Amino acid sequence: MNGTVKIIMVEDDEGHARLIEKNIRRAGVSNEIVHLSDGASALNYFFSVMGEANEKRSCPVLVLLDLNLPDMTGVEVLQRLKADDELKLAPVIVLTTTDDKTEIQRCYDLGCNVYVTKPVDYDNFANAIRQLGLFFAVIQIPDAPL
Amino acid sequence: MVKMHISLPSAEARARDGLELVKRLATFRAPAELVLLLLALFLLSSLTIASMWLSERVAQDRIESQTAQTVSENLVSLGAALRASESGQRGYLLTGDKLFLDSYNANIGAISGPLAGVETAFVQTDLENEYRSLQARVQEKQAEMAESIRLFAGNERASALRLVKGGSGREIMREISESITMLRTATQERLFISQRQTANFNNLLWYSNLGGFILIIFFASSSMVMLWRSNKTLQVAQAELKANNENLEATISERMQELREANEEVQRFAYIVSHDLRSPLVNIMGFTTELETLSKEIFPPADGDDSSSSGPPVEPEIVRKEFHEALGFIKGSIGKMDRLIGAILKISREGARPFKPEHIDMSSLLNGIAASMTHQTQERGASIIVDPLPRLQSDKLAIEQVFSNLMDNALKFLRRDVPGEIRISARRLNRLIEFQVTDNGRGIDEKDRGRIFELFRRAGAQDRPGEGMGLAYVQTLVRRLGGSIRVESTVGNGSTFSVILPETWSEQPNRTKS
Repeated sequence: MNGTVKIIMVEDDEGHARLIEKNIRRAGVSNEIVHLSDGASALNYFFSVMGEANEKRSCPVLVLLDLNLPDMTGVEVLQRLKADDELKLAPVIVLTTTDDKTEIQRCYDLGCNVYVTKPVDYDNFANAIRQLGLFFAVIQIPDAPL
Repeated sequence: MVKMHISLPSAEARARDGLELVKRLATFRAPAELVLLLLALFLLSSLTIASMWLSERVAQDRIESQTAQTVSENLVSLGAALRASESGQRGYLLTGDKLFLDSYNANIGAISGPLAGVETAFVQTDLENEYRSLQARVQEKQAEMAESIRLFAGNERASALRLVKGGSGREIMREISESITMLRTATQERLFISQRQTANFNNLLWYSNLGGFILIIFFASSSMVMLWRSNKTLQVAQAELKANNENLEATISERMQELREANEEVQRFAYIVSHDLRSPLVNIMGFTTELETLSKEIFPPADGDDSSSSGPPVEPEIVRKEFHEALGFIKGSIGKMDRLIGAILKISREGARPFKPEHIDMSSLLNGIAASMTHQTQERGASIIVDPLPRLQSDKLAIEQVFSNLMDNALKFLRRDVPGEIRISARRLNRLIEFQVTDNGRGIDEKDRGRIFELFRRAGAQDRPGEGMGLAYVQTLVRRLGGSIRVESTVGNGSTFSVILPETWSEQPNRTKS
């Protein structure tokens, strides 16, 4: 099944990470979640860990990306991902507190698949996350073409 | 971070000075020129009047001298006519020839004309008496001659000859001659005096014309000089005004640039604040809702059954763990929020605190900071070297905070594999001083060199403690101190933070460009 799809969560705030994870689990998604708390370790994971293990192609991933990282912006991580021939196929869901229109547009332009605003109104947020979970449950991550 | 003083006093003052200059020109130069002009007008018109009067006098004198000439001629012809008539009378008496009688008659008629002609010249002068006696003598002579002719014609020849021999006629004639000579001499004298006067007046006229000419030359040249001078001052003032205008434009565009920068900074600041303050709120809301959900497990509803509690009951141990986790996150988020608000307050307060400039011995100040860090430096096997530094007139507290933050950062981001070395040096740039804090730490990636000065942003591996406040705070302080800060770095080799500060701090913003 989709048990092979790894969810990679790039989120610096521990609390947010925990909430997102809880809600994903609550939606019945049991995929492995890798939590990375800043841009540098995310890039390190994508290009060094996965690269060395030659997992970039064989192991499909889904990326949950926070834009407001302490060491770099999430946009930069997104750019790096989309510039990579293999990783650009991975779906990216941007999660951030910003509802700035130009930034949302920028993320879509760069190739993000879904943009979710983290609201203070928690119910909506939880709903959105749960729907994402359902989304994870049904999608098939395409194999990277040769 | 966002505090900025925008003002244009210097440019305004310069423009005011320009106007002042023009006004001064108008009020100062005009009277001098006016006085000169009036003086010239007065002198030239008095000279003209003098000239006119003198010419009038000369003309009068000429008429007078002509009159004197005529008088003199008349006197001569009077004498001649008398002598001629006398010789006619004598010839007639001697010969009885009618031809002599005719000559006598002709000349006796020529006497009255010249005599009457000179009358006006002598009447009402000191010579009137002399003239009157001449007149009387001439009449006597005429009467004497007429008597002798009458006697001779009436054949009383002896009586006529006796009359002549009696000598009274000769005596009268001598007196007449004397009188005429005297009058002529007097007239000549008068003529001479008047001619001398004419010559004097002529001289005066010449001098006055010469003076007029010189004055005209003088006034013309001096007004030319004045015109040239005021023209030159005007040109200088104009050039100054032009320069001021250009300066004003430059100042305005500079200030506009500063405003634009400040505005961008405000926007960035607002973005960061809203973003970062929202993060803990999301946590608080999220975990509160989690607690709500948990409460259904902890306090199950009395009539136990259905819908709301989804799934099977959860183990009490897990419930307890989740409860404490949620509580921990809520508390942590509240604490974080408090810290963030505190940081923002600190920065905005720093923008408002009044500075007290004082003399600062930078060497001893920075050595003091280095000494206070001895514990950390020894722990890391690092050293801080403070070169001799110039003195500064600035706010001591702000300066201390700027450098202790920079030194603290340098110490914090040293590499663990080499002995750390931090050096503080300075060099003078005109009236500014550039301080450099150089380390051999891990360095900063080029793309992060702008970000590090933003609030709550940090660069590189997030393996050292910190809130991302230090450099934002330093930048705010440096800007308020009228300076600028920039960073140069090689990743893996170290960084140099350059702080450019005015030697003497003043309220007026004179930000240095980095």
